[in-house]
Formats: sequence, C-alpha cells, structure tokens
Amino acid sequence: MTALPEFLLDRHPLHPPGPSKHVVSVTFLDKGIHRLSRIVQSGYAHWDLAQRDSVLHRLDARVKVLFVALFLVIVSLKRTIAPEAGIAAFVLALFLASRLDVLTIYKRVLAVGLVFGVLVPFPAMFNFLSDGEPLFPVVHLARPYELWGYHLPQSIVVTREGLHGIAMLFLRVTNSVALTIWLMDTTPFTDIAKALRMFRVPDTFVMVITLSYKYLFVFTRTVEEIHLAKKSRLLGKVRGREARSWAAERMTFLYRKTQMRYEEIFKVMVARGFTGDVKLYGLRRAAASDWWAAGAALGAGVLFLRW
Amino acid sequence: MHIPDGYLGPATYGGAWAVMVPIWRHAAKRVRGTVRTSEIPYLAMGTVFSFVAMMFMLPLPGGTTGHISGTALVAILLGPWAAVIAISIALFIQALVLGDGGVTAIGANCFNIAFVGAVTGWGVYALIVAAGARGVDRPAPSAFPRLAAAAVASYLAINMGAFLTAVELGCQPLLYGGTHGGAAYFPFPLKVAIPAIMIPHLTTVGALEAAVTVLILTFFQKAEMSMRGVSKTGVTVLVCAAAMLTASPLLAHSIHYDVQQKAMAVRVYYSEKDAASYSKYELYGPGDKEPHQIGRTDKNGFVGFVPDRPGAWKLQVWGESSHGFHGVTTDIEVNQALGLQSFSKPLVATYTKLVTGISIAFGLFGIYALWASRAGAAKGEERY
Repeated sequence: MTALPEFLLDRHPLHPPGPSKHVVSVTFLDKGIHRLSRIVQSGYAHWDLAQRDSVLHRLDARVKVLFVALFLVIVSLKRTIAPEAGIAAFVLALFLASRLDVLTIYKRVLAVGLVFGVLVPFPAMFNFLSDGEPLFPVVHLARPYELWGYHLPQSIVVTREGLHGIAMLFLRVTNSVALTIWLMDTTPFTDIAKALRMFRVPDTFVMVITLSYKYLFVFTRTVEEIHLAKKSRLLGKVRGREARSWAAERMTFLYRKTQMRYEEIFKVMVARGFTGDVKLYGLRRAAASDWWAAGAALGAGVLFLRW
Repeated sequence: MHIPDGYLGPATYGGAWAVMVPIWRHAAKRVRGTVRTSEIPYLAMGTVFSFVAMMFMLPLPGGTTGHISGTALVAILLGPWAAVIAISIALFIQALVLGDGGVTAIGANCFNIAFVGAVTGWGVYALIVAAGARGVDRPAPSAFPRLAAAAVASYLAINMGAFLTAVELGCQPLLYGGTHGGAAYFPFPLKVAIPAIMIPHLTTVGALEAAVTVLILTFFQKAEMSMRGVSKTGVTVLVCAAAMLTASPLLAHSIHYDVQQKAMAVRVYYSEKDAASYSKYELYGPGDKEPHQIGRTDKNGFVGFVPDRPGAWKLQVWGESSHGFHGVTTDIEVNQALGLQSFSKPLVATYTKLVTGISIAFGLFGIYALWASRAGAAKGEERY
C-alpha cells in the first residue's frame, strides 16, 4: 500500500471529555478528527488497492457493479445457511484472485459482521422473544414474569431457531460487506460513479457524487487544520459551554468556507472552459473479456439462486 | 439509524427503492429548476458539509458527547429537495466507503433519513415560521421563534425517521418469520423494535439533534447568513402533505450569482505591447457624480463593466509607466440595447492621418532645410 500521509498515522490516545465542574477537554474534537481521518484512510486505501493489477481489477466497472448488485440481491434472498456459506467462499475466492490483503480486509468484514450480525440480534437467540426448540438452558428463574406486555419464561434457554437466525444474519451481513469492499478495492470510485449511468442515473447526480467524494478529502483536511489551529492556542481546558459554542461556530465557518471554496472551484471550472453543460467521459468500450466475465457472473448468480 | 445489509427482506428494501426512485427523480427535477448547473459544485459541497458536520462530536452537559444527523439543518439551509439529494448522496458514499448502512438498504435509509427527515424538518420549520409571520405583509419573526421552529423541526425530523426505521425493521418477523426456523431477517418484532429505537430518540438523540441544530443556526444568524422567510402561501401549501411535494424549495445561499456574456471591455495600453496593467480607474454612468464602478485594470489592461442604462459613460484611468504618470479619459456611448454605439478615441488616434501627414510634411521640410543649408554652406566656402 502507498505510504499514508503522516497526519493520518498519528494515533494519540483519545480521552473522553471530563465531566467534572462543567469543564471539558477539547479532546472530544480529536474523536471527530480521527473519525474523519478514518474516512481519508479508507479513501487512500481504496484508491491504492483499486490501482493494482489483476484480471479482476482490469474488468469493466459496469460488469463489477452489476455483479455486486446481483449478488447483494442473491445474498438477501437466501434463507438457508449452506448457500450463504457457499457465497462467502466464492467472495473469499474473488479477494484471493484480486491479489488483495485478505487478512486485513476480513478483519474489518468480521468486525462489522460481529456487531450487526451477532451483537445487535443477540437477544433473539433466547426464548423470551420467540419460541423455539430448546438447545441448552442459560438461566432458571423462580417463576415466569410479565413485564409491560413482555413475557419472560421461567427457564431461559438458547433455541435452535434463534441460533439459526443469528448465523444467517451474520453470514448475510458479512457477505454483503465483503462484496461492497471487494467492489471498492478493485474499482476506482469515479468509475463506480460513472457505471451508475447504466442504471439511468442522470449525469448531474453522477457529477455531484464524484465531486462530493473528492471534496470529502479536501474538507477533512480543512477540518483538521481548524482543529489544530484551536488546539495550538489552548493552554488548558475550556468550559463546556464555550466548547459547544466553539464547535457550533466552526461548523458555521465550515459552511462559509464551503461557499468560498465553491466559488473558487467554479471560477477554475469556467477558466478551463466549463460552459454549464455537464459532459462526463464515459467508460471504455467493453472488451470481449468483460462480456465473458459478465456471462460468468450471471452463471454463478443463477447457480447460487437455484441452490 | 442506518440500516445495514441483511436486516431487510427483498420486499421491504425493494419497496423502499421503488418509492425512492420517483422521489429522487422529482427532487432532481426540482433542483434542476432551482439550482443552476453552475451550482452543482455547491450541491456537492453541501453534501460534504453535511457529511463532515456529522463527524463533529459535541460535548453535552454531563460529560458525554454526541453528533447530529443534520437532516433538518441541511433542509433549512439548502431547501428540502436539495437536501434530499445531498443527504442521499452522503448516505450512498457512507454505505460504500465506510460501510455505514447497507447498499441494498440505501433506498430505505434514504427514505427514512433523507426524504422523511428533510421534508418533515423543512415542513415543520416553514409552518412555524410562517405562522409566526402571520401574513406576508408582516415582518418575518425574530431570531428566537426561528430557532424554536428549527428545534421542533429537527426533533420531529429525526424522530419521524427513527420511527419509520423501527417500523420497517419490526415488520420483518411479520413478513418473513421463521419458515426455516428463526427469523430470516431482522429478528425483533414491532413491540421490541419500536421502543428499542424510539426511547433513546425521543429522550436523548432528538434533544441532542434539536440542541445542536439551534446552536449552529444561532451562529448562522449571528453571521447574518440568510434563511429565507416563508410566505403565507407556504402555510397553505404545507397544510396538506401532498402539497408539500410542490412547495418551492428554500435556497438559502447568502449570495447568488451566475456568469453572463454581457460585459463591455475597454483596453487601456501605453503601446501595442505594453498594456496598462493593474491601473486604477473610475467609471461614471451618464450624468453620475458618484462612480458607478471603481477598481484596477486586469493584467492585460482591460476594464470590464456592464452598463445598466444608455447614454455617455465616462472612464478615467490612471497609470504609471516607465515614462511617468499618465491619465486618460474616454467617453463611451451606450445605445438603447445597452450595446456599444461609439467611443471617443484618444486625440492622436482620432487624427492619425492628419498627424501623419503633418509629420511627413515637417520631415520633408526638415530634409530640404538640411540640404539647403549644406548647399549654402558649400557655396560660402567657395566664396572665401
């Protein structure tokens, strides 16, 4: 991977704001800045990975967008574990064929899968929300309870149906996230945006999407500079009220900066011949290999659908 | 509040896409009507502003922090339809780049957050502000009612979005419940999903959204950034939900502009290759005593101006070259169509032929005088 800019690699420990005596530390802003830097990091990472050379990288963006859209729908249609696991293996094979860093990527995929596929639906595993075949008991209460219309049985057990549901949700979430990451890591974002025209997305939309993605990095840097400027002028902690006012004022300033930046960019566009007509360069003409790949993707999709 | 992939069944997310596609088309049509192509970068900036503003963690009383969804704020600042587009694109980028929210669920997320949030936020705000104005002939309400309107609007906007999210999720066990054992999609029924999502939103998240929206708008008002008032017609329009779809959007940019090919250009120069760059000038309209325009010429010595009435316009330019300080005045006659009729050329330029003729005559006379004096001198030498 290309070396990331130094400011993105800075990993000072983050401290939550102190609650005592109405005084807070401005490190709450650090959290925001690091969230933003995560965006830039992912952007750089996607950009860098999308530039690599493999058979799958070279495929037409439209084929890849269609393939991912088709498989996201198939993933959502499957109701049993076996085909979902089969799709998971297929997506893993795609990552390997794309010569991407599978371990790093799957750490992220599994993290999202654990949060949304396991932690959030975790209570659904037990019999107090839905009935099911008991697998093993967890808690035995003195008697069943009725709380605000909710029934709590005397014996709380893990059910087969609950486990199946969580396994399905985990596989579905991880497959969907993995497919999205694969698309982002093998295709430049601008090509993905252009491929959306295939779905009759107007050029104006495509242009706004492309520009927004680019401006995101510009503004992330601006926000970081605003934050550092403030931080460098502080000797101690600030009062909570002042900190709130300051953060809100910065957002207002950011909005004004947005307008100023827009005016500058528009002047630059006019200077380069922009006359008000949006004309986007299309993607290259699909090669024979793209058609073969589209056919293969369709075939694989049909196989998984019929499974 | 972003629904990830896998939580909604195909009928739900497909239905949400089916609902959102005409909304996006309508929003695009409305925005195309009000936002010029030249303002597309501005719309993109608005998207990024809402995206970045969501990343600012704010300290709350008690020591915790929170961030806003910003839908109502963006709707108040950009107008509802521009906000629908800006926030939809922000959600699209979030889903692809950060994995916040699913790709199949983009339709549902955009419906809950971008559409319902923006229309509710802007609608409630407009309704309260218009009610406060009590008629088009009355002045717009002062800052406090506007801020109160923004607080109520943002609170309701985020809660409406959250409620719809809860309903969509809570319907999944009803729609797809346990054919193969266990829930196929989101596993919790409505009686769990609604309180689980709504209690934090009604108590903490909504209050945070309202507080932060007010805080930011306070600074906008202090900075005299415009938030357009809402007319009485707006109240009538907003009474019924259907009419909300046709309400004119609030475009609240502080300064509007476009580029038109109207200007008249005057070039000022010392010689053909030596332009009077960055020279001070004053331009007076017909009969004006105060300048219509002041400034400096550009790098190539041009002054551009747009006449707003016919008549004789006067341009005075002062410049300094290697030969000293110069000043020039020219009269520009503007016709009824506000085009160029004529202009007074500098003296030398007007009588170029005459000056050239006189110069040649003087030159010939000089040559003759020189020749005659030399001839006379030669004769004198001979006389001695």
